[in-house]
Formats: sequence, C-alpha cells, structure tokens
Amino acid sequence: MELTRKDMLKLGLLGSAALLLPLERAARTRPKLRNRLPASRLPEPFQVAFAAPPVLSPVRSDATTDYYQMTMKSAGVPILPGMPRTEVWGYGGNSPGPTIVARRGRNTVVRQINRISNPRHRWATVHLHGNASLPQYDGYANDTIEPGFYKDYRYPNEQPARTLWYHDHGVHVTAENAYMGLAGLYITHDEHESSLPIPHGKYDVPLVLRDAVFGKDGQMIFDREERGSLFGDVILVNGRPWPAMKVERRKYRFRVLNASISRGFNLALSTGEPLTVIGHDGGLAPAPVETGSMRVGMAERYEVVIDFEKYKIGDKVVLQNRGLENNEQYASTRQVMRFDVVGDATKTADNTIPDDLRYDNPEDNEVMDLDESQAQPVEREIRFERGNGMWQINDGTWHDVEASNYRKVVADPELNGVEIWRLYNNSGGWNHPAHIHLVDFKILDRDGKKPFPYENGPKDVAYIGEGEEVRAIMRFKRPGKYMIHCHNLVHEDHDMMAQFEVGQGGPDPLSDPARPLAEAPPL
Amino acid sequence: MSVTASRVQQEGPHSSPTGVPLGSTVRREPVACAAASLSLVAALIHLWIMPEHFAHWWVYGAYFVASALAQGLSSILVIRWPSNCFVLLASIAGNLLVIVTYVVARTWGVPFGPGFGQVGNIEVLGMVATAAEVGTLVAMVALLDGAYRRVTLNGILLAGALLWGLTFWDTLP
Repeated sequence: MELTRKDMLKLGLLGSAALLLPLERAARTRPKLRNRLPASRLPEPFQVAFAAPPVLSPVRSDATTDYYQMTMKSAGVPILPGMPRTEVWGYGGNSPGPTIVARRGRNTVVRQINRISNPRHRWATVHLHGNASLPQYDGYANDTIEPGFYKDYRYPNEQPARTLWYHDHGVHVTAENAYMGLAGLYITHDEHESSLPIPHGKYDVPLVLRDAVFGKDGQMIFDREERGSLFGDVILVNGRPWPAMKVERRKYRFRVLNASISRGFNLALSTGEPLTVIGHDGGLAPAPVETGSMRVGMAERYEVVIDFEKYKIGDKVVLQNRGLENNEQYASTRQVMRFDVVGDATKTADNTIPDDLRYDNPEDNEVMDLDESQAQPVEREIRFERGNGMWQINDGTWHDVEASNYRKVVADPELNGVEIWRLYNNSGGWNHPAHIHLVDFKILDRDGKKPFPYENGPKDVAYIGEGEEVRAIMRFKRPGKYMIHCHNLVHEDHDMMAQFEVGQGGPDPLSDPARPLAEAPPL
Repeated sequence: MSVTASRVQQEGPHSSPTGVPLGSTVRREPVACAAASLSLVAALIHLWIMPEHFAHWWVYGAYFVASALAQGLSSILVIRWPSNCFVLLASIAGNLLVIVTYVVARTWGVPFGPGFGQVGNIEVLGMVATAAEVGTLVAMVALLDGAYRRVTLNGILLAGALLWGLTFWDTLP
C-alpha cells in the first residue's frame, strides 16, 4: 500500500499544478490590486464641493463654424482629499474634459492633439457620441491618433438639441483611455429647447457619473488582464468623489451621463420623491415621465428634473445608487452625491415642466414617431454573446472586421431605410449596453413587453439585461460604415464590436487619418 | 515460511529500486478514513460556495452540487469498500476532473458557460478544497493495487504534465 518515491513524484506533478498554477497566475496578473486603497481609507462622502466641468471657448468662429482645440495630455489632479494628486489622461488635462456647448445649425471643428506622454498610453481616437458624424469623423476605432499626432474632427450639429459626450474609442484601448479620463460633455441647444420654460443656465447642470479604483498612492488602478468588468468603489461626479451641491428651492435640470467603464447605476432620491425624466440620449422626450428610480447604463444620458421646492432650507437629499444585477456593489457605491438645500430660489423663471416637449417641426420628432409599419419587413438580429474566449457580436469580433480589411459588416441597411433591430443578449449572467453609432432609435419593447416608461425617448444606447431581447426601430440617414458595440468598454476592447454599412459608396472611415503635429496648419 | 516470503512480509510489496522500504506496512482502514474525510471536506466546501455560482448561472450551480454529491458519496463508498477498484477509480477520475477544471478556470479561464474565458479569483476556500481533493487522490491511489495503480498514476502524471505544459505554452511570447 505504500507509495514509492516514483509514485509521489507523479502525484506531485499534479498536486503542484493544482495548487501553484492558480497562485502563480494570480500573482502575475493582479499585482496592482494588492495596492488597492482599503475601504477604511476612502474619503467620507459629501465632504467635497460640487463643481461642473469647465466650458471650452472656441479658438475662433466664422459665419458657419466654431473652431476648438484640445490637447490630450496626462496631468496630476487632486481627486481624493488628503491623497497625492492623481494622474489622469484628460482633454486639456481635465477629467472630465471641458464641455463644448454648440448651437444647432452651426458646425464645429475640434482639433484633437495627442500629447499623452505616459508609456502605457498607445493611441487615442475621439468619438462624439450621439452625433450623426461622417464616418471619417466618427471616431472609427482604427482611425487612431498616436502621441505627437493631431486630427481635426468636423461635426455637423444638425440634430435636435441633446446631451452628447466625446470620449475615446481607440481600438483595444478604449477602456483604459476612458478610465484614465478621456471623456467630456458636448451639449447642443436649439430654438425649441431654449424656448421651453424648463431650467436653463445655472439650473441646467451636468452630472458625469463614473466609478474608479484607487491605490494607496492615490493613483487609479487599471487591470489590463481583466476581461469581464471593472468596478470601482469610489463614485466620482464630474471628477469629484461623492460631492455635495448647494441648491435653491426650485427645479433643477440635471444632464446625467454614466461615463463608467462597466458600472450601471440605479438612481433614486433618499427622500423617495420622484425624478422627472425630460430627455434622453437623443434629446428631449415627447413628454416628461416621473419615476421613483431609474437605471442608467454605461454611456446612457438622461435629462432629469428634481424639484427642491418641496424641501425646507437645511434639508439634505442624497442621490442614491440602488445597484443593478451583476454589478459589484460596495457600501461606498450606494450613494452618488448629496443636494443641500441652502436657500429660496433666486430666479423663478424657467421653473416649469410642460406636459408636451415635442417639436413643432414633425421631422424633429421623427424617431419617436417611427412606426413598425414603416420598417423593412425583415428584422435584423444582433446577438451579443460569448464565444471562443471573446465577447462577440453575431459570432464575430472586431478582429474579424480588421482581418477582412474593414469589409465585414453585420448589417447593410439602405440609405434612409427604416429597420427594426432585435438586440439579443445571449451571454448568460452579463449585461450589455448596446450602442449603435449614427442613429437615434426608439425602443419598441423588452422581451416583448413595453420598455420602462422613462425610456420613452430618442436613444442611442439600449441596456440589454441578462438574457434580454430589445427591439428598436431606427432610420439610417447617412451612408457609410459605422460601429455597433457593447458600452461595457472592457467588452468592447475584447472584442465585442462590429460594424454596419448604410447604403453604398459612403466615405471611408479611414480616409482622413491623423497627421504629425509638426504638419498642422493654423486652425 | 520461506525466506523470500518472510522478506516480502517485512519490507512490504512495494519498495524503492534499492530495495529499501519507503514506509512501514500501512493498514487499509486509516488510509480509507483519510480519503473519506478529505473528500467530505471538499464536498462541504462545494456545497457552501454553491449558491453564489447558482446566482451567476444555474449550470455553474448544478456543477457544484454534482461535485459535492459525488464527493460526499465517494467518502461513504470508500469507507464501505476500501478495496473496490471501481469505487476508487471512479472517485479518482471525478476528483481529477474537478481539479483540472479548477486549475483551468483559475489560469486560462472558465471553460464553459457565460463566464467562458473569465479567470476566476483565487479564494481560500477554493484552495482548501483543491488541497483536499489532491489529498483524496493520494490516499485513493495508495488504496489501489497492482496494474490499476500503475495505470492511474500514469494518467495523473499525464494530467499534471498537461497542466504545466499548457501554462508554459500560454506564457510563451
């Protein structure tokens, strides 16, 4: 019955593999997380004052166009109180980047210069999310800007007023670039939106939400080996941890953007009072909708009105995050920020929410007026799934697109065609916020049932829950190749992205590449 | 008793190439008890962590339930029939499968289902369960005799070599 040395050696080979290989892998791939700032050292919430991102001024303007310049660069910024400055890769060294405010009907040119000097940084690409840009200015993943290069992005602002955001879209590096700070707001106004008696000016407030993981040295931790999700335990609002905002006793309009890599939010007020949704990714809702809580997936934007008039001076209202399925929730991530009611309203104009927010021009309401009878008879199925160790769309990855010399597409809608796409999450216990470039769409149903009432507005991102199927209707108004991908940016990088081609003969997405900065003409 | 028989009785049936015995003659029951105990430890750990895996995907949960039941059953059977080759071989094969699955899931990534390709976290309970399974294997191999032991050991050797080999292959530039 005894075991010989030879027997023990044979058993030992398996035993050592069973016990040592997992430890070796953990030691090799997760060294950074050992440095994670413990929960006991996270800053107390609501100690930092709220601030909105700065607004960027144009370098110059002419009759039709406003010209902006931004330099992507690494910078040390104070984020966690009492901790060293945190390195961010930001537009102008800011995270989030400065807000561009544009007027519908005027064009915008943004010169993006890449001067990020960190050796971890490889390249960048800038996507203006929510804009029907030409393909070569849409931030095509492989249309990269290497450090020392620049690209002039040209944006038409033809669509109805909305909350857009610009963010990185570099192939395989989007998650790290965006996580390090490459994201900012771009807001468009138009006559109709400006004329509504809804909150404007200082009562129209951006809330760029995201999470992050910090190390004991105050630096953000990004794990390149991670293929699933990135969940941080610090919530940042406009780059500040759990800020407190002083508010007057009146209505405020908040432009909520979830700029997280993988975290979805389930927002609600601590008082139980409702949030009034008046706008979506693609602009104003047809009508306001009150909701007790709302899911905001990655990249989704909602315009939400909170009425503080019902509170007394001195009241404090916490914007909570009640968590979503398959999100890592920490005690620290259950709250987002706090509103401190400090005084009566100093301005009472623009303090109403009309029952009807629709445009007078029917074309501007088009997406919400689209009817299934207008769509092509065959619905397309876009499956978000897991296969061969990769995140895939319809059995393919972005690598397949590259290997096809950028020819492979998952759909080829006609120019000006109306289609219904069935976005199906076939990947088990994962959710996928699906972003379709170029278009605004209307969600028709979720698993055959009506979408959430607060989703009733023009969208460009649809949160597809675990095992869920979402049907959306859209019109394709511009020819060319555009991307579709999961906005869990870890999934997008590995490699849940595909493209579709509208019509034929559209501009090549790679036709206006970045150029060396030394060759840049005056803007 | 002949001289040869006497020598075998003193040294036991297995000795090193030099003829020096590696240990004293071991009774079967304590080894079977050790195998059963370790198998039970692994089974209980699998039961303990099963709910979180069910929450991820029901098949993952079912895998842990099946593993726990098989290991629990194995611990009973090995006590009852410590010399039964079928019981021992089936238990060894089952534990080997669980060990290989664990190593693959913690190095290359989860081998099937919605977490396919995701590298799982290393947790103390998982390591304890794996150590118990390795211990179970050792004890059960010790209970095997003759050709069964030789073939089983070679199979285990192959599994170990494959795991190490795949790791080095994976880390090659």
